[in-house]
Amino acid sequence: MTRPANCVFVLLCLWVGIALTIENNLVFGAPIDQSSTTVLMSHDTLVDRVQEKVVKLFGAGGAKGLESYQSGVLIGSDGYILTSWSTVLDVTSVRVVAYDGRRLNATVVGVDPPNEMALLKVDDAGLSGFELDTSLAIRPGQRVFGVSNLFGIATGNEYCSVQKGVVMAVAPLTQRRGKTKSLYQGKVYVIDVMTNNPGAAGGALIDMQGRLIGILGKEIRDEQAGIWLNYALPLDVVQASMDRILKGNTSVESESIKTVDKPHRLADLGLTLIPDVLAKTPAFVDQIRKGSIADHSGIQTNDLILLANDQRIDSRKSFERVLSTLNRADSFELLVQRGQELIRIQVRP
Amino acid sequence: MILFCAFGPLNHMQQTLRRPTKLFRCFLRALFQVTFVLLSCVGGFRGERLLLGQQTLDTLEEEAFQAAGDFAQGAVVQVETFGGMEFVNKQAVAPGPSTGTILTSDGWIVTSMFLFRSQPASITVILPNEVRKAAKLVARDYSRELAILKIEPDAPLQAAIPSNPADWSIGQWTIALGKTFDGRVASRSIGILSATGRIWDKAIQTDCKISPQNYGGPLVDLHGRVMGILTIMNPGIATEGEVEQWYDSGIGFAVPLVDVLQRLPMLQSGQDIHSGKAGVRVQGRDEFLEGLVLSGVSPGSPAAKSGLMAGDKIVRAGSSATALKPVATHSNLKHVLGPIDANSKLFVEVERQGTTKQFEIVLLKDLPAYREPYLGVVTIRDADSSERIVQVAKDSPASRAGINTGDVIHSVEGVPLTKEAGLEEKILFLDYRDELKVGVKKQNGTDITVTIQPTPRPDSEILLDRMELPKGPGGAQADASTGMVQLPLGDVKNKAFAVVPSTYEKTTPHGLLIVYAEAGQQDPKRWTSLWERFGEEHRWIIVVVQSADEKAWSFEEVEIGKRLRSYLNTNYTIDPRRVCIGGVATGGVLAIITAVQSEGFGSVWLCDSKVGERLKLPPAEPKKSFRFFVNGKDENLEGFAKRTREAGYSFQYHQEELASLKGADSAKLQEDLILGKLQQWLRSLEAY
Repeated sequence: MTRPANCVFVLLCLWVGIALTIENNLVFGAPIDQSSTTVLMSHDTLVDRVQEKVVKLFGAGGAKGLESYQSGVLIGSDGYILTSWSTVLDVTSVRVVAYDGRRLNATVVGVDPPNEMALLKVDDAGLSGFELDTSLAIRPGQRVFGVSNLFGIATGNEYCSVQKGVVMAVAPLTQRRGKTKSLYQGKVYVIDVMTNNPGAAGGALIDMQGRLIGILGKEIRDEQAGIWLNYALPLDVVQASMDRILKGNTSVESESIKTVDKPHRLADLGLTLIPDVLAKTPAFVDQIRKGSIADHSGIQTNDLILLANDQRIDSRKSFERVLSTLNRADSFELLVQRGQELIRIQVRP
Repeated sequence: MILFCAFGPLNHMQQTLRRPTKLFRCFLRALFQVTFVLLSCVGGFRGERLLLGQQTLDTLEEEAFQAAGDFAQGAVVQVETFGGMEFVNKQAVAPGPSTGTILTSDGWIVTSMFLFRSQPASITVILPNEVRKAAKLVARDYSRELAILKIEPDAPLQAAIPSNPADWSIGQWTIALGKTFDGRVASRSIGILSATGRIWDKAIQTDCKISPQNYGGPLVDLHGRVMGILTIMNPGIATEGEVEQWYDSGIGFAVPLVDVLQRLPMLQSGQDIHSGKAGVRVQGRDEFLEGLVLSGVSPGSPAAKSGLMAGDKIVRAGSSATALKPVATHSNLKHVLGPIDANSKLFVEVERQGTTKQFEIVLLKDLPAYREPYLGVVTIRDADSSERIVQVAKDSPASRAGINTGDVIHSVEGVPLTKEAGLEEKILFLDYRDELKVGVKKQNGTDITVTIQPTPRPDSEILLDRMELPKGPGGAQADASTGMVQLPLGDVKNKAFAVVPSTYEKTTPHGLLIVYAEAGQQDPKRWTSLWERFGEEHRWIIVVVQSADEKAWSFEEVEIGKRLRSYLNTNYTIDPRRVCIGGVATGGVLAIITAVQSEGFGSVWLCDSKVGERLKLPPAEPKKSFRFFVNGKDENLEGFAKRTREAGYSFQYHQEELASLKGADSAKLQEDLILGKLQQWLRSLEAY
C-alpha cells in the first residue's frame, strides 16, 4: 500500500470507529431528537414484531373471481383475529396460519356487515396481537406500511408481504370518484399502498413505530370507470365493530337513504324543473308558481340547483331523491347557480 | 476531533461525547450521516444501531413531505361539475369532484380535461378556505389534456410557485396532491420523478399514484414548489381526446408548470391550444432508423407550402431558428414536434442535393384532408413516356378542360413526364384544390398548354365507353397457364385458384382481383362462369382464395393475399394501377387489413361483409388512398361509408347483396345487377 492510501485507510477506520461509537452513544445515551419520546425501531425489527401479529386465513372460495384466502390481524392476547367480512369465512372453521407456520382453526365469533368486519378466535395458541389504540392521530402524508398476504403468496411460516406508502387522505368512502357499491360508507384512510389486491383485505396498516392504525379494506374498483382505491378502516371504526360483535349486537342500522312518509315534492313547492331528456338532465328551474313556497324562498327561473342540504344534485332525478328524504314540514337549504353567482337559499314551508 | 479520537481510547470517547454542545451536535450529525451513507455502500453492517439512522432519515423525510404538502395545498382547489353526459365514447364518466391548481392570485385555475368530456352544465370550485365559487371554462389545451378555469375571488389567492426544471434530477422526491376527497386538506401520494421529456417532450413522469383522484392537482417538489400539473396522458395517444387512462400503474404524467404558464396568456384570451401538424411523411416504418429522409409531404400541408419535398433529408429541427437540435430519426423529430402547438413555428434544416436549406413551417391543427385528385382520363403510355388519351369520361375535369381522345399529354407544369414519374404518379401527389397545367399535343399536331381543375375522385360510378385497347407491342404467345389455374401456396392449408383469360398475353398488362371468398369450399366453375367473360373483355385475372378452416377466416391468413399478389406479379403481367383486393362475407375484414398492411393494392371490394361499428381508416394519403366498392346490407356499412369518405377515400356503396354467389340458377348469374356495377367499377379503375 502506498503511503497516501495508507493514510486514507487509517482515517477511514477512525471515522468508522467514531461513527459506531456515536451511534452506540445515541442508542444507549441521548437520542438525536431529544423531544421524541417514541422508541424508534429498525425496519427489520419492526417487521419481525409486526409479522407475529398478522395471520394468513384460508377458507371457502376458489371459484372464479372469488379467492379462498385473505389476511387477518391478531388483537390482544386472547386469540382474537379481526378481518374483513367476506365469502372466505363461509366455512365452519377458518384455517389460520400463524407467522411461525402453525396451522390453527378459528371459529367465527361474529360479523358486522355494515362495517364489513368479522371477528374470529383461536384458542390457547399463545399468540399475542396488537393493542387497539384509538387515540393515534393520523394525518395525510403520514408514512405507513401495509402488511398482508396479498395474492396468497406467503404460505407456511413465510412472512406476509410488506408494502410501503403514505396515507393519502382521511375521508368517507362515499367521497371517492366512481360508482362502486360498498356496504361500508364511513371514514377510511385512503392510502397509496397498493393493497387493492386479492387477499390483502383484513391485513394490518401500521405506522413507522409498528403500531396498528387500521385494517386493510376490500378490493374496490369502479367497474365502469376502472378506478381502484386502496383503503384501510380506522381503529375507531374497528373498535366499535369489535365491541358490537362481542356484545352480539350487529344489527346496526346502515346509513342508507331513508325516505319519509310525507316528503317534499316538486309540485307542492311550486317548482317545475326542465324536463328529463337526458340521464343526467341538470336541475334547472323552468317555472315557479306564483305565491308558492319556492317563490317566497326566492328561487328564480333558470336557477341551477347544485346542492340541497349539502348533498350534490347532479340531475333532476337526484334532486327528487333528496327531496324524498326530507319531511314536508322541515325547511332545507339549496345552493343555486344564477349566472356566475352562487346563492344559498333557505326553503321554508 | 479526529486527532483526539486517534489518540483517545473509545470508551473514553463515549464519556466525552455524552453531553455535546449544540454546534458539536450538528457536526456529529453531519459526520454521522456521511458515515451512514458510507457504511450503507460498504454493506455488511446491518445492526440495529445503524438502522437507527434509517429511522431518523424516514422521520425527517416524512416531516419534509408534510411541510411541502401543507404549503402547496394552499394553491389547490376542488373542482366539481354538475349535470352533463353520463357516457362519453361509451365509457362511463365517473361522477364526483376533481382537482385544480391556482395559477394566479386573481383566479386563473388550471385543471385536467378529465371532468369536461361530459360537457357539464355548471362548474364550481371550492377554495382552500372552503368558499365555493362558480367557475367558467375559458379555454382548453387539447395537446396536454388541460383546461383553464376562471373564478372571481373575494381576496387574492395563493398561486402555485413554479419549480425550476433546471433543478430537477431523476429520482428526487415528488408529492402528488389532490382535492377529490377533501376540499380542505389535500390528499398526498409520495413518489419520485421517474423521467423527464416524456410523451414527445410534453410531460414529466412520476411513480406517485396518479388517477382521477388527483388529475388537475400539482406534482410538487420537497419545497412545495409545483413541478407540473397532473393529467391524463399516455404515450399511445392516437387522436386528440382519445386517451386510454393508466390508473395506479406506477406511471403517471404531469405537464411542467412552466409550459402551462408560458401558454397562459393565449388560453386566457379564450383560444384553445391544439398540437401542431406539419404534414411530412418519413421513409420506412422504423421510427429509430437513422437518416430522416422524407418520402413525401401531404398535399396542401404546412410542410408542402413551406417548400419541403420528398427526398429532403432533415438534419436539424427546433422551435426557433436559433435553437436547432440535430435530428437523426423519426423519433427525434417527434420529440421536437411534440411540444409545438398549432399556429406555432417549426424550423427545419434539410439536405437537398448536396446543399443545406432552412425552412420555416407554421404548424396547423388539422392537415387539409387528402383526396385523390381526379382528371377523368384513361391513357396508355407511349414509348417516350407521354400519355396518349384513350378515353375521356363524361362531365369530368378533363372533358371540361377540352381534352379529347387522341390527345397526348407530355408534360405537367412544364416538366416532361418520365418513365418513373408518369402522369398518374404525378397527380397523386398534388392537392386536388390546385389547378394543373399540362402540355398537350393535339391530334392536328399543335402543342398547347391546358389548365385542368381536378376534383376529388368521385364516389359515384365513372361511366366509360366500351373500348378496344390496342394490344401491346410484339404479340408473342403467353407461356403462362390460362383458364382455371390452381395456384401454389406452399405450406398452408388454404387453396387458391385463378381465372385467367384464354386471351391472356404477357405483353398486355392485366388487372388483378384477389378475393378472400366466403369461408368454406368454393366452386371454381361458378367463379369461372361469373368472371370469364369480364376477364377476357377487359383483361382481368381473378384469383379466389379459400379459407384454411371450413368455418372461418383467421387473421394470419392476410399473408395469403400478400403472397398471391407477389406470385401473380412474378408470373403474369399485372397492371399496377388495377390491383384490387376483395373479400366476401367474413373475408371482407381480411381484405381491408391486407390493403392497409401491404403495398400494391389500390382498391378494395367488400361483399356482403359485416364491419365493426367503429372501424375507421387512417386519413388517406398519396398512394395510400384506396378506392372502395362496397355492397351489402350490414347496418354498420352506412356509417363506415361516411367515416371512410371523411377520411378522404372514394367509396362507392350499394345495399344489394351479391345473390349470384349464393343462388342456384346459374343461367341468371350474369344478370345480377350488383355484379354488373362491380365490374363497371373495376373497369373504371383504369381512369384517373
